[in-house]
This record gives sequence, structure tokens and C-alpha cells, in this order.
Amino acid sequence: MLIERLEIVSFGAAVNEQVEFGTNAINLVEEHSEQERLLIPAVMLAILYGFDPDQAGIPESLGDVSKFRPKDGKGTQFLASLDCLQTGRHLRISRDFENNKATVIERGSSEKDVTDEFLGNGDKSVGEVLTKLSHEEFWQNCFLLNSDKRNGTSAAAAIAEALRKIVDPTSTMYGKALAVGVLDSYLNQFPYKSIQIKIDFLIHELEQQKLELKRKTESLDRERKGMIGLIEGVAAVTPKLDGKVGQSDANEYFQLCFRAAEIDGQVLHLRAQHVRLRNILKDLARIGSMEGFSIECQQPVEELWKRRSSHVDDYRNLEQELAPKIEEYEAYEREVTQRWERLQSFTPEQAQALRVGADNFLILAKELGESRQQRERQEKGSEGGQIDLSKYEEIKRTLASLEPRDANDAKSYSALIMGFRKQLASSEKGKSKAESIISEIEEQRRAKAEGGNVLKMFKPSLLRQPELEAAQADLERHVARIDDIHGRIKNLESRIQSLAQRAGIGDGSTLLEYINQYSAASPQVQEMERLDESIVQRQAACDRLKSDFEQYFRQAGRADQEINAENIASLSSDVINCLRDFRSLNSTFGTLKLSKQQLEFLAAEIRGIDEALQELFTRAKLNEPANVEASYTEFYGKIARYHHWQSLQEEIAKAEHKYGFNPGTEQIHQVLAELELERTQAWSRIHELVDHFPEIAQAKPPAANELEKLRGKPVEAELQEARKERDNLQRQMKSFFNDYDEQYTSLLAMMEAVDHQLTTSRNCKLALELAREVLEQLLMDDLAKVSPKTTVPKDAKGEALPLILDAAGWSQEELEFSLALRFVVAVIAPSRQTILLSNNRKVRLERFSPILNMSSIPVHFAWRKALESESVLPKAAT
Amino acid sequence: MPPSIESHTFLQVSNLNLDSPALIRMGLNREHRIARAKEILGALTRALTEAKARKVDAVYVVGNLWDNQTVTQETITLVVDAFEQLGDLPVFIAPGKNDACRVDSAYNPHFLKGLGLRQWSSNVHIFANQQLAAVEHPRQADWKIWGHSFQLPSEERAKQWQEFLAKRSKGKFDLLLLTEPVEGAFAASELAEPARRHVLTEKQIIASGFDYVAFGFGNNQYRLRDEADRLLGAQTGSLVGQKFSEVGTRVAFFGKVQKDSQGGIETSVEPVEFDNRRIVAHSVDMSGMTASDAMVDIMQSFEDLGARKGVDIVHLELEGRYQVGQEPTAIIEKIKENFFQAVVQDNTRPNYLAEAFAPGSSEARFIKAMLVLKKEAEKRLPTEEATADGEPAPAGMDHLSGRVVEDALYYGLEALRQKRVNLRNVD
Repeated sequence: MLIERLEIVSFGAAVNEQVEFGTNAINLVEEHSEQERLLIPAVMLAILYGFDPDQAGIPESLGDVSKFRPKDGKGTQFLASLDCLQTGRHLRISRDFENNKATVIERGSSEKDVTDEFLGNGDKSVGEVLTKLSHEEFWQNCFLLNSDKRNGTSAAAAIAEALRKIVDPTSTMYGKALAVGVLDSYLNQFPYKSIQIKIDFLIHELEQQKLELKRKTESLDRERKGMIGLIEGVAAVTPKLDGKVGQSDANEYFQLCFRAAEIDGQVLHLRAQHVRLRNILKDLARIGSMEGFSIECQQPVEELWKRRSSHVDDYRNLEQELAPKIEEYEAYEREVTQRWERLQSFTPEQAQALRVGADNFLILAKELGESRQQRERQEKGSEGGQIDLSKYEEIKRTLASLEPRDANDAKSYSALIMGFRKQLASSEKGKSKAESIISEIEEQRRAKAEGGNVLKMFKPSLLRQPELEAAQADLERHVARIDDIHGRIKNLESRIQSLAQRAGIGDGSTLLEYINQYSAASPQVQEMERLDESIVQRQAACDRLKSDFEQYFRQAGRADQEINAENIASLSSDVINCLRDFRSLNSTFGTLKLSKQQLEFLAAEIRGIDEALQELFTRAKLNEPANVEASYTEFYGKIARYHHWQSLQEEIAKAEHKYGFNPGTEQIHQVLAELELERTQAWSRIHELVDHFPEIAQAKPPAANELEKLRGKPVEAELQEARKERDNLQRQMKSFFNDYDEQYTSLLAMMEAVDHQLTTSRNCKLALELAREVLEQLLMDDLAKVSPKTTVPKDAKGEALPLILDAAGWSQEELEFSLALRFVVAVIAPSRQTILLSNNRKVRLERFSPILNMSSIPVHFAWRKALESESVLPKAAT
Repeated sequence: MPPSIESHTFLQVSNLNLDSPALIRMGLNREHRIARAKEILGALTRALTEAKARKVDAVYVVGNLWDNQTVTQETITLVVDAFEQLGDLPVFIAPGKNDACRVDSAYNPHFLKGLGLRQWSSNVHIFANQQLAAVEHPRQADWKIWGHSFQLPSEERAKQWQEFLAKRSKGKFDLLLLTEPVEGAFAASELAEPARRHVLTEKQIIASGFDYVAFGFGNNQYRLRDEADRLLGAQTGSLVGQKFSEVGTRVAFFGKVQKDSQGGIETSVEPVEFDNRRIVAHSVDMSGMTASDAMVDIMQSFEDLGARKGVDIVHLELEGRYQVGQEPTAIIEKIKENFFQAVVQDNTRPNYLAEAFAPGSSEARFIKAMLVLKKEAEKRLPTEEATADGEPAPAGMDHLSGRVVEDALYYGLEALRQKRVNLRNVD
């Protein structure tokens, strides 16, 4: 039985897929997962034998229908079919797994349902009827999914056992395989010029190189043959030129020599000019553009400069003369200025005002101080005199409450009372005196009267009588007076009383007392009041002055100082001293100042000149017109440069006029290049002529005048044409043979090397391949010997059954795998349709192409692909 | 009174093959090739200088002055100059197989003119025609020099020769410059089979009656004598060695032909070497020798053969078997160091076949299978030369040579035994 095609409508993960198998090939199916790989044997087995979970000898997983039921449910038919070739009949076995019903169709020009033939009474599966093998037997003979299956007698187990022996390193097959591998590695990694390369590739490359070299060589050969025509052309044109061309060639030769010499001269001359003019251009570049330079400024500049020089001399002499004094002056001025920093702004008027103000302030301050002291003394004095100032204040207030007239009346009354009391006292005193005198006289009289007769001689009653009488008169007068005064006082006291009532004190005596007390204390109080008033006035004056001084203090930079007598005096003194010092400075250096003024005048003059010069220098576009002296030098340098520039410009203009361009510029390279080209062409032609006609070089050159004539004389047209033809032929030939000489031998050498390498490589390849092939043949013989006889079981019709191998199960060393593959390819595949299930591309069957060719077993890559729409499967199944 | 004697002296040179690709085929590198090409030209110049010094009567260039296909303009110019410098010493050139007269050869004045090269000087005579022709010696009117340009031997050409020789009018003294092959004067490898059947015979030459024949086809020396052992002609062979078949001393001849008044001729040639180098070839079987013994033996052999260290070019064929692991690589390197150029053909093999393998072993079965194949291959391709002409060997196992099968045998054994292979003659 040969399997042709597997079509799956739905089975496990496969939906609408088909796999085509080669019936006379080794089939390689690449599936990465084990589940997908096992799908193929599972579906084949299921189509042929259906699902039977109790079937012995079959992996349990393949008997469980639920594992392969479509996952998307009812929409998809659980169906697959197998196309096979059985004794020349093309059969399609389809099975609907839902109802486990199999259908067999005989394919051909007309499809025929032969299910009955293969199912009969239906108690056997189609696989059993078809192969006469039970489910288990078919599995054990056709499917090898585990290489470790060592026990058992089935064909697949025998193959597994054989495989195991083959990969045993102690076997002779292994040694041969290793040798094959060694030879194979040399074929794939052939040593070539220190690299390793596949020998087929190397040979291909060398062949290509050889072909290319051959093509080039043949091309040169062809071209060389083509040269024959040119050589014949030379031969043909030669007679036309014979006898005539010699002189013409010679003329051309000499003219060219002459021209070449001329060019040499021109080139040398131009190069010299180039150097000279390039230097001129460099000079010009260094000078810069002097275009528009105001040369007319030269005269005024010169005149101004003379004046300036004179002034400058004077100035310098004077300055030199005054220098020590000025230095002294300046030192002193510096000292004064430093000393009286910020006081210089004071004018003499301000100084005067300041001094007066200061004096006034001092006086006022002194007076104020004195008044204050006096006031203090007064105050202390009043305390000593038991002046009750508080009471005094009350008296003063009481008196102040009276009308001024009443107050004056009260004071007058009081004064009168006082006067009267003084008078009273005087009168009392007079009365006492008169009484004492009287008493004294009476005493005296009594004393006389009681005393001796002598004393009695004077009558005692007359003693001192006048005085007695005067005393008595005084006594009477005083008594009268006293009485009068008392009356008067009483009157005045009543008046006082009324005034006291008006003053609200209700007691005239109090008022009187007040008035008396006031009168008694008044000078003291008045003095104090006067002092207070004076203090206030002076303090106000002081304050006014202080405010006046503030501006001076600010002006003097002493705003932070307290304005007091001391500081005012200091400021005033300082200002006066400052002014004095400056006056002294001015008076001491007065002459010097005059000289300085003269210096300044000179300086002003110089400045004026400098300004004029600056203007001129600005017009002359100097770098620093403000720096007159530098500019003057620069100006004259510029003038020199201007004249130099002018002369260089003239040189350039002359050269441009002479050569039509400036040879100092880069343009010379173009001109020289043109001349060089012309010279090269001339020399090339000279060489050509000498090469071709060596006799020309030995000919006598014509006289110079004849040469000049020849230059103007055209060559005969026909002769010229023939010469052109000849020259053209010669050029072509020369060009070709120059290349030919250069290339041909090299090509031969390369070809020889390539050829040698090619021969060596080919021989090596042949030898290596031969050795490998013989060893492989020996290996195949060995493999055939280990092949068990039971490895090719037959079905009922005597046909070999297919073998489905899981190559992934052998994924050991590559060498072992190769051996196993060799066994499969060489021994199994020629007798049994073989399907290899692989999990990767490790199965490289193309490597065994020589063996495959020998065995006539092609490789078929059986991919699972989408089922085409025209598939007959659903139709047949339904 | 003794008979008066007329004599003619000459320089005879052949097969210079200037700018020949043979140097390439020898395996010389570019540097050595250029140097060698100059040396060859130098040999010619020295020979001409010597001829002038000896005041010979003529210079005969008998074939293959250069190779038409590869000679450069520079070489042509140098040769033209060299001959011109001989002054009035006549030079007779008979073009040979490689420098045969044709439109694009330097013997054609129009070719020279077209390239702007100098024309041959007046002292040079070129036998540009394939027909036999004679010219008189410019100073010895009685002496006729016969010559022709080369034509490949064929039946027709053989007939032409018969006619030439029959029609030729005998002069007082006739000298022939013959550049076509004469039986016995060349090696089989120098002429392919069809042409070889139509070459001139010695008998024909003797019968032609020339007083002296300067042969120029063969690369090695040759002398033609009559029955009385008188020298009738001579071939110098190549003036310089440019192939490994041109071994040993290479010479030019200074000849002298004397004819007395009675017609008696006495000819002699003196071979003189002008090449600074020689090619020395040697083959050694190193079986049973150690590498150092083999080296001593080889160097001694070369010395015996006259090879000069650092000067000469040697070709060594190594044969025999060596013990496994003692490849002659060091010997080859040593030989290359010792000479100007050394080309070594290594045909040695490891001595596997000397070992006794068990009859059923892989090695024994492999050797047996390979020897059968070798025998078959050698039956099919009896000579190595059949595939050694530079043409690609036909593909497939049916066209294997015995040598390739032998290589395969040793490669297979090495793979089996050593798990590696020594590839032979691979750069």
C-alpha cells in the first residue's frame, strides 16, 4: 500500500488541511510540536481502523476520540480521508469520526463506491480488510515513534534496534561514517589561501575567473587581429607619403620644437613674472587699499604740525621750568585739600557768617548757661529764704484773679498799710523814745532830788526841763500819730477786706498777707521770671542759630555731629583755617598760577591744533585720529605707503596691459596649464614624430628665417590628409599595443595561476569525493547487512507497507543521526514508502544526494497545507 | 703547395623565446619572471658582444627569437638596437614557430612603423618568406645563406621542401638556416602527432648538399654528421632554459666552416654558455629515508648535477613513501630556500600500504576497492599527460586518472586512520 494523500476536514487541531506524499520518495514532514507530528499517524490510524479506546498495543492517546474532536463544535465535520494506491487501484478511504463510518471510493475517471468490497459485513475495519493486519499489527509494523523500543518482534522494533547498533561508536560503520564526515568537511571547508571554502564554490569561482580571463585574453587576441587592418593601413598610406612626407614631418617637428622652446620661455618668463607680481600683490595686500586716500591733507597737516611742535616745545620748556614748583604747589594743594576736605566749598562770607553766628551762639550759650545758673541760684536762694514758692504761686494766682485795678488798689492799700505801719512803728518808736527820755529825766530828777545838798543847789525839778518838754511834746505827737495811723490802717484794711472778698478769699488779712508776702518776695520772683524769660529767649535764639548751622554742618560733611558750641566753634575755626590756608595757597603760589595759566594757554593752543589735525587725520582714515602723535607717524607712514602703492599699481597695470591678465594672480595657473597642455601636445607630437620617424631628429634644422616662413606656409592638403591618416593609425596601434603589452602577459600569468589552482582543486575534489563515495558504499554495505529481514512486512496483497518514522525521536548527535538517516535512506526507503516526521531542519537529506541518486530515492517535502476548495472529500464523505 | 682555405665563422643562436609565457608556466613569481626575462635578453647581448669581439662573419638567429604573442615593444626595441650595434656584422634571422613572420610580427616593417619602433638596421636580414630563399653574404659573395620562415610540417609542406631542395642551385658555399623540425632533432613533446609525421628527415638534409645546416626547432643540442662523421649541421637548443625540460647548460655556438680549394669541408662548433642560470631537474625516491637523510641526499644530488645554490632554478620530483606523520613539508621548504627558484612536485605517500590490515577491516576493504578503481582508471587513461594539458578534466568518476584515484586512496586512508587529510600540492 502506498499513501498518496491525506485530507483532513477536521481532526484535532487540523482543519481543512491536506498532505501530499511521494509514493516513490522518502517523505519529510516537518512539524515542530510533538502533538502536531503525531497527528499524521493518529489520523491515518483513525481512518483505517477507527477509534477504539480498548485497543491493545496502541498508544492510549490515539484511541481516545475526544482528544481529536473538533474544538469549534458543530459547525465542522469530524472527518478525514486517505488516498492510497493498492495493487494498482487508487482508493480513497474516508471516515466520519462522529459515527465512526468509513467509506471507500475507487478513484479514477469515474468514482465508484467500493465500500462494500472493503467492509463486507461490517464487523471488520477497513484497515483490517485492506491490509489483513489487525489494528495492533499495523501499528507495530508501520509506525516507529519511539526509537528506544528494544523489545518486540515487529518490523518497527527491528528497525529501532538496527538504528541503535548503527550509532554505536564501537561499530565499524561508525568509523567509516566518521571518515566520511572528515572527507565531507574537507569538501565543505577546503583550504585555499589561508581561508576555508566549500570546494564546489571555489571551483565555480575559479571557473568563473578562468572564463573571465579567457574572455579578456580572447578579446585582446581579437583586437590584435583587428590591428592587422591598421598595419595594412599603415602599409597602404606609406607610399602616398614616401618622398614627400619626410620634409613635412621634419618641418612640423622643427616648428613644434621651436614652439615648445617658445612655450618654455614663456612659461619661465611667466613664472618669474608670477613670482614678481605675486610679491607685488602681496605687498599691495599688505598695504591695503589706498584708494581715496586724502593726499591733499599732507600740506595742512605739515603746517599744523610745525605750529604744534613749536607750542609743544614752549609748553614743555615752561612745564619743565615750573615742574618743581608745581610739584610743590600740587603737594601743598594736595595736603590742604586733603586736610580741608569738604570745607573748600565754604565762601569767605559763609565763614564770616559762621564765625559771627558761632560768637553769638557762644555768647548766647554762655548767657543761657549763666541765666540757668542764676535761675538755679535764685531757686536755691528762695528755698533758703523760706519762700514758699507754692504759696507764692497761690498768692500770684489770687492776685491775678483780681481785676488789674483792684489788684493795683490792693497793692496800693497794702503798700499804704505797710507805709502806715512803718509810720506807726516809727511813731511807736518815737513815742517809746519820748517816753524813755521822759522816764530818764524823771529818774534823773528824782536822783537829784534825793541826792546831796550840792546836787540840791540845782533845783532837780528843772533838770533838763527843755528836753523833758520836747519829749513830752514828741510823746503827744507820736501818740496822736499812732492813733491816726491806726485809723487809717483800719480804713485800708476794710478796703482790703472788700477786695479779698472779690478775690474769693474772704479774708482781707489774708489778702493783705498775700500782698505783703508778694511784696516781700516780689524782687526775687521777678528776677526768676526775668531769668526764665531770658532763658527762653536765649534758648530760642540758640535754636535759631542751630538751625542756621545745620546747613553748614551738612556742607562740611559733619551732619552726623551734634550741633553744640564746641562743634560750632570747631567748624567755624576749621572753615576759617581752611579759607586761610587756601588764601595762603593762592597768595604763596600766585606767580606760579600765572605761569600755569600760560601753560594752559599753550595747552589750549595745542588742543586747538590737535583738533584740526584730528579732523585731517579722520579724513585720512587713520586708525586713531585722537592720538595725534601716533596718527602723525601713521599719516606719514601712510603717505609713504600711498606712494609705494601707487608705484605697485602702476606695475600691475603695466603687466595687465602687457600680458592681458595679471600674472601674479591665480589666473596664471590656467594660462600656464594651457601653455603646458600646448607644450605637452607639442612634445607628444614631437615624440610621436621622433618615434615614428627617428631620422627627423637627425635632420638638420632649417634656418630661423626659413622656419618662420614655414610657420606661415600651409602644408599641402592631400599630404596633410595622408599624414593625418597615418598619424591616426599609428596612434591607434600604439594605444592598443601599449595596453596589450601591459595586460596580455599578466592575463596569461593569472590564467596560469587560476588554471593550476583549478586543476589542483578539481583533482582534490575528485579524490576526496571518490574516497568519500567508496567509504559510503562500504558503509551502505554494512548498513544493508545489519538490516533485519523483518523490516519489510507485506500486506494481504503482498505489497510493502509504508513506514512512518518520528525522526525527532532520534535527535542525538548529528553524526549518529546521519548514520540513522543513511540506514533509512539506503536500506529502508528503497523497499518501503517512508515518511519521516521531523521537528526541525536537522534532517538535511540533500547532504545525501549522492546516495539518494544512487538509490533513485528522491526526497519529497510533505507539507501540511490548506485544503483546496475543489477537494472531493466532503462530497465523498457525505 | 697546400690548398687554399676559405673559412666562415659565425655565431649561431636559437630559441631565445624572449618574453615567452613559458616562464609563467614554470611557476616563477612576477618578480622572478621579470628578472629572468632581463637575464635572457642579457644572454643574447653577451653572445652578440662576444661575436663582435671574435669578429665572426655572421650571426645566425635560427628560430624563436621571441614569442610573437607576448613580446613587448620594449624588447623588440632592445633587440633591434642590439643588432644595430653590431655595425656591419650581418645578422640573418630565420623566424621559427613562435616568432613566425606575420603581419603583426616585428619582422614586418609596417608593424614597426605603425608602432613608431625603429626599423631593423641594414645589417639584419630576415627570411620573411616561407619559401626557401638565399642571400649572399655581404662580404663573402661566395657564401650563400639560405633560409625561410617557419611553417608547420604537413604533407603539403613536405612536398614544398622536396621542390625547394630539388630546384636549389648549388653554390660554392651554402648554409641553411632551418627552423622546421628534423627527425631526431627534437623531443616528442615539442611537436604534436599529426605534424610529427611530416617532418624532414636527416637523410633528406644530408642529401640536400648544404655545407652547413643550422637547425633551430629543437630545444636541445643536436648534431648531424655524415657517414664520414663530418659535421653537417648543428642545433644549439635554447640559448637559455625556460622550461623544466631545458635542463643543464644552454649554449650558443661559435662555428667555423672551412673549405679548401678542393672542396673539402671541415666544420666545427664551439658551444658557449651565456645564461647566468641553469635549470636542474632531479627526482628522488625517499622511501625508507628519514627527512634529514632525504634532505642531504637531495642537496648532494643537486650539487652533483651542477646546481648552484641561490643561482639556479631547480625542479624536484619527490617520490616514494614516508612514515605516517613525517610529511616532506620541511624538505620542500628547505629546497625552496636554497635556490633562486625551486618547484617541487610532491608525489610521496604515507606508507599505509606497507601495513597489514585484517581482511575484513574497513581499511583493507577500502584499499581493495580503491586499487580496483585505480586499475580501471589507468586502463581508461593510460598516461597522465592526457589530462595535464590545462584543459578541464571531464566531470564524473568515469574520467578519473590513476593519480586521482591514488590520491583518493590515501585521502580515504588518512580519514579513516588519522581523522584528517593531508591535501597534496595545495597552496
